Amino acid sequence: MEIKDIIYSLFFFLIAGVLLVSALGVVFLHRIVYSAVAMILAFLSVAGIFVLLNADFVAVSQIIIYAVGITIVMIFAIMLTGTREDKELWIAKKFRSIVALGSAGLLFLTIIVSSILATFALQQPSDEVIQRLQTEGTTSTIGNALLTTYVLPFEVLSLLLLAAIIGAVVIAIKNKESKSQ
Amino acid sequence: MFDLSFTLNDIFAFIWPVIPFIGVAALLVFVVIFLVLMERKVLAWLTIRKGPNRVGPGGWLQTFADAIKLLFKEDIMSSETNKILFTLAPIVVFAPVMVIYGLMPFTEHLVAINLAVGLFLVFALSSLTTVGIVLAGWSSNNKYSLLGGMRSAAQAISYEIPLVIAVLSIAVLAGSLNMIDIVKAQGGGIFTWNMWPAFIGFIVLFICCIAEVNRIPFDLPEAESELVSGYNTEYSGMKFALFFLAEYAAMFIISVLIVTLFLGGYTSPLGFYLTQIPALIHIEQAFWLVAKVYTIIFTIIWIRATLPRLRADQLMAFSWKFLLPMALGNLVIVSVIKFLGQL
Repeated sequence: MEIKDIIYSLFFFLIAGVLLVSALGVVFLHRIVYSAVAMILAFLSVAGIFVLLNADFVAVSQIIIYAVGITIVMIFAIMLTGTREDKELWIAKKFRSIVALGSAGLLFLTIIVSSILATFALQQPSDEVIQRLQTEGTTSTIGNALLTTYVLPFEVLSLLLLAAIIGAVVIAIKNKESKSQ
Repeated sequence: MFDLSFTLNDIFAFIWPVIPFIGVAALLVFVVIFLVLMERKVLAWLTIRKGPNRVGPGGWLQTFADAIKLLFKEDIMSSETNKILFTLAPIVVFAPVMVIYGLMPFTEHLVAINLAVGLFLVFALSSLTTVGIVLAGWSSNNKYSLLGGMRSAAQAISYEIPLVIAVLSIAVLAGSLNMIDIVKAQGGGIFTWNMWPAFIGFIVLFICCIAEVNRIPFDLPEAESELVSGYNTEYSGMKFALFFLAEYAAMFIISVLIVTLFLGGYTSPLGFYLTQIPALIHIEQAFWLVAKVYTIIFTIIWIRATLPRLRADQLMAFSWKFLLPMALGNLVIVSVIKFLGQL
């Protein structure tokens, strides 16, 4: 084991530890704002894991979309419903949270079992490819794949986002009309 | 299992990338202190006032005195604030700004973190500061702070979209997201700068950058006459100093960013370097960068001294109805130019 590998695993366990603690924090923290902040930390740790896997473009996308874009909308929503900020959220006391825990655990077990049983055609990329990705980054590879091989799924996904935007506009217009009446 | 017989060289190879970063971080404080002084001096000159003129020769030590005062001030926290988030917010605002400093190419070799996706990471990190500002506004438990934080987040999100689309045209022109590659593509003097093919993008980016750092005419999040001081109303002492530092550091960074993306970065506008000795070329590159950056900063201060503040609805309409179509049009023009150039 070279020093490079030691540092690599040191960083991996550090980031994975932060990820686990902050993910537990999202679920178990009492105040909803703390959960949101813990979620930012969890998303950033996931970005860190992506960096360790040489997926730099995905890591940065993770920060800009999940750690900032999505959580800021959530924090906005929390701030706008500020009167309930101090309500304690202890989800484990409810029956429905046991159901949620059970189904999530079942899904997790299914994934674990199927990934153990299935034989993936895992192909370790050659050192040359890894070297190229480390110096040039993955942006052009992802861009080429999205606009050639996977252009149809990509366009269908963007159609979904377009539908969501139009839906949001429709809801906003409705509210405006009802207010003026 | 562990082979611990690594040499000093291995350790050095691991520590080496960190050293320029520490240097750049130390630079940050001095840059900000000078920037504050420069702003006050230039504003005084533009509005025919005297400006700082008591501390030191010609008032040049005024901001050093201000900095020392801020560091020794009492750290006050009102009893109704959310203590944890109140303390966390200035750190969340300041830390990303610090990292962005490391991503900026100051000369050909003085770039602490040279990444293939450097440009993309700059925008990801700069949007992270918005979270800190919102948290600061919320945790202060003060209506002015909350309004300032909300305004700031709304403004940052609205202006980020034309900003990123304008920057996209640079990625098209350079064919890379690496900051050094972007600068090298404009290395042939003033006429190879990205400013010419992407001129509309340059204007859009300039306006958006002023809005991103909340300066006049886009300073609604901290409008003194309406919101006391916006999201940092409740802050004092060291925590306030962090906000202040981050704000002026961000102003310096966006100027470096504008120069790097559109004005040829550290390269000479003449197309060749005046000095031929490698060590001196290094210094000359730093000179050109600093000269260009302070031209941009002077323009930003000039705008501050000239224009009044926008209204909130004007701010949003300007971003969505004017800047966004302009940025998209710029992207189309730049793509056509790039396509024709490749024929």
